[in-house]
Amino acid sequence: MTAAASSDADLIAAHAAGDQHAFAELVRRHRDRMWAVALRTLRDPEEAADALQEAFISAFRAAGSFRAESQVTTWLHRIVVNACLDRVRRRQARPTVPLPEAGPGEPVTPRDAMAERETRLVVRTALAELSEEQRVPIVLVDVEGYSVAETAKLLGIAEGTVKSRCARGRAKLAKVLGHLRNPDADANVPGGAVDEGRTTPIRRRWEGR
Amino acid sequence: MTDELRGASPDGPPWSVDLLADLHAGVLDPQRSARLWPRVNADPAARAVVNALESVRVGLGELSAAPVPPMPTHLAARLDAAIAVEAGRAFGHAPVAVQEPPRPAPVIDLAEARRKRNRRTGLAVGLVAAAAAAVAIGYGVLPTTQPTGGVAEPAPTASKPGSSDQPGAVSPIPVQSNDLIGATAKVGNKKDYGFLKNADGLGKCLTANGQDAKAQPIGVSPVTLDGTPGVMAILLTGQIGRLRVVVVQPDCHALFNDVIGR
Repeated sequence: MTAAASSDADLIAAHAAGDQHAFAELVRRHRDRMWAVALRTLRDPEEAADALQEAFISAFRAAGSFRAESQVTTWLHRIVVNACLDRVRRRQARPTVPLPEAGPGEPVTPRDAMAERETRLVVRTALAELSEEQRVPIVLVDVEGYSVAETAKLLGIAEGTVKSRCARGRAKLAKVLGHLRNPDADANVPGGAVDEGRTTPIRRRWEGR
Repeated sequence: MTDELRGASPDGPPWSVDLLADLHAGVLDPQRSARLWPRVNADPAARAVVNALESVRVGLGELSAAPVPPMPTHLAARLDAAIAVEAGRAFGHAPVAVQEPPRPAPVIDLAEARRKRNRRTGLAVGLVAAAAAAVAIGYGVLPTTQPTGGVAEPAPTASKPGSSDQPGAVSPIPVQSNDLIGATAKVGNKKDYGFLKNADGLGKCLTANGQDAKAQPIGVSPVTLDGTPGVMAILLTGQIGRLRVVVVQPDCHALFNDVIGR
């Protein structure tokens, strides 16, 4: 039953029916994609691996309650996200341990930003610049494709808070990625501010126009 | 945050990036939003900021469809081992020996793994490799059904040449009791039951020493433990990075029977 040709739903059904190999096949199929989800959400590979393990074990046990009307990938994705969010909450409850960031404190030159901003690597790196409070909603909404309402439910916060955190996060990313780095921009937007150090709060209102 | 500032600021040039980000994200109330959009659209600089924010959103969206690097091998092996443990428990074919009292829904102790993560050494590599080998045993060698519930005979493909075909033909592996971790790496996934002859023989000795006779060993090999001949069996414990090592003599007397690892 664990043939590669079996559908995900078939594998879940086989697993629920007692096929001891079916779930391992499911894991094999989706491990890397779910790994990416976990890593984007948690950043720390070890923590992401732990979350993924928790998620797959949860899925293993809950497979009997899987309903065929939803896609297995969607179902797994949700379980992985929940496992990651549990870890985020636990992490927030304990002292923060700074994670390494690429080029901390180094100014981003316009040339580099122009050269690199098209690359996904830069986007991933830029995500690391965000606080967890901003990064997690951004990852859920903009990367993973959850609606604001779904994200609010997942995170246990108001929809307006999700929108607001996404707004702040996008603004910071736009700056980090150099999208706002345009000193020659029309005077109506304070472009000079985005040429300041990356740590400069971009939420301040620019004056002097 | 900036909500206070926003309330005191005019909705127009000089534009606040925060205000434009809020507008773009749908944070503002519908009336204010409806009032602002025409002004923003009419202002190239404000429009540029909104476009930049939208570029960010699109770029993030592309991440989900991007090719993803595979999960690192050692982490994937750990995951596979955990699933194997879970499968063993759920389906009762016992690919692992569970030493702890049965729990309704046992989970590998991630907290402990995290606490001790920084102390990982070569041991971790060896144990992960062993766990991966166990997965190979559990999923690649075990027959699909086991009518008697007993331990499946390993398939020849899982054995080293000259091992299970000729038990004891290979010289015992010299092992020191102060380096059992190194010993597990030497034994690896060998399946040489030596004087115990086969899995049944090992099962009897495991039972005699309080272990699950149905436990599927990761590896079995004749050894000399501090110079005394015996057969070593390496068993999973259900905990990441921890293995049970049992070394027995022909009469099942245990020269060693304990958990090693982190």
